[in-house]
Amino acid sequence: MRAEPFGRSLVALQAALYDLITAPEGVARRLGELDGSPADLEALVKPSPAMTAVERLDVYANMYFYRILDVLRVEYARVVAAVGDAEFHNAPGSSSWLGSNGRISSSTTVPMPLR
Amino acid sequence: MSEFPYLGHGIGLRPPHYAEVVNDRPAVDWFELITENFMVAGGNPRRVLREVRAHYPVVLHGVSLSLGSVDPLDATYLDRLAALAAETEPAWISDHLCWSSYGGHTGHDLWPLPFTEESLEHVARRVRAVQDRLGRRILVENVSSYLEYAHSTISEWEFLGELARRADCGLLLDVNNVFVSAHNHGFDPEAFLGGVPVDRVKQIHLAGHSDHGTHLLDSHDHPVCDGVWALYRSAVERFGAVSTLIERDDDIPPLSEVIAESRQAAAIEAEVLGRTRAEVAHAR
Repeated sequence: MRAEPFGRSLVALQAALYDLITAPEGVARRLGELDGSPADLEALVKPSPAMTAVERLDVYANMYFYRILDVLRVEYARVVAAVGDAEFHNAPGSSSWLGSNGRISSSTTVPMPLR
Repeated sequence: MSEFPYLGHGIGLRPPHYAEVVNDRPAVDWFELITENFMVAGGNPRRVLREVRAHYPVVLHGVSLSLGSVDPLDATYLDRLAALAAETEPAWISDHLCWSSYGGHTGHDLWPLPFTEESLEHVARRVRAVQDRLGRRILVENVSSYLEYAHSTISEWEFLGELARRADCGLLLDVNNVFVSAHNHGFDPEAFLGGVPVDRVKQIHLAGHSDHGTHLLDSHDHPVCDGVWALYRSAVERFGAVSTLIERDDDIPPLSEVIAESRQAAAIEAEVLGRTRAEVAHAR
């Protein structure tokens, strides 16, 4: 549990959600890094009967991740063709060639498993 | 002519259909263009725009105004939008009720706002500023959302109505977004339609979505589903004849299929209003 709850002002809300949505390691892990718990997030984002607050925010985080991946697929079409789609998907966290263009840092990006 | 004329039934112009639209001039009442795709100095997009505009009414639909962001409004973007509007003479300009940027970074998404007094004042002030810069009123669209904020104090439809009143803007009612958000948040989509002020709705969007089990996603990769068609019928009953547009952004089918959906919308409108399309247009 965080010592201070996430702020509800527009400034505080957008700072917190932008941080969580764009975190390369995903919402749950980033929440932990911020000393937050799922309960902290539920004070800001309501769970639904089907989804927790973390899962609801993950919808946006996953779309953010896949938009970047889609752009990289287009930018590095020949690399995708050479290594295959699954290897390309899983590459950013373990190699340096994607991180070298500055768009994705290889030192901080942890890939989501390709389902 | 009205500030927001009734244009009939249009479709969103997408790159796979550019050549066919330019060469064959299909029977479509009007086209909606994604603003940012044409904010370029020249090249094929601007050539296509000139060709299409010469034969059809067009409207500019943006995705980057970020009306709800706490970032300052992007003056450069507004300058480019004003220049594009001056050249294109669109019937109107629209964007979304959302925030999509933070700290100068664009997320390329439509992130939802809490429905609070603070948000209302913030967004209304920015809509007024945009309208002052452009010298015209704009339409603001409801977005699909996948989360709700615990501290929202009013409903989304109350927020839209009050925003339109405070900013003196029009509304773009996305019926698919109402359907998606109603499913995701458990509210009655008919209550949404019933709560939006009739005189502010100047355009309607129709689109498809995808079912992810725990939630619906506004993916624009399917045809309009039966539930959205039924909700559109209710919208026509409440709002009358409103310029209506079919959106498709992924798994884009042949142009003829999108046009067929547009004609289905026109048929529903004519059936509900008991008039022919020509009579509907004349009555507006």
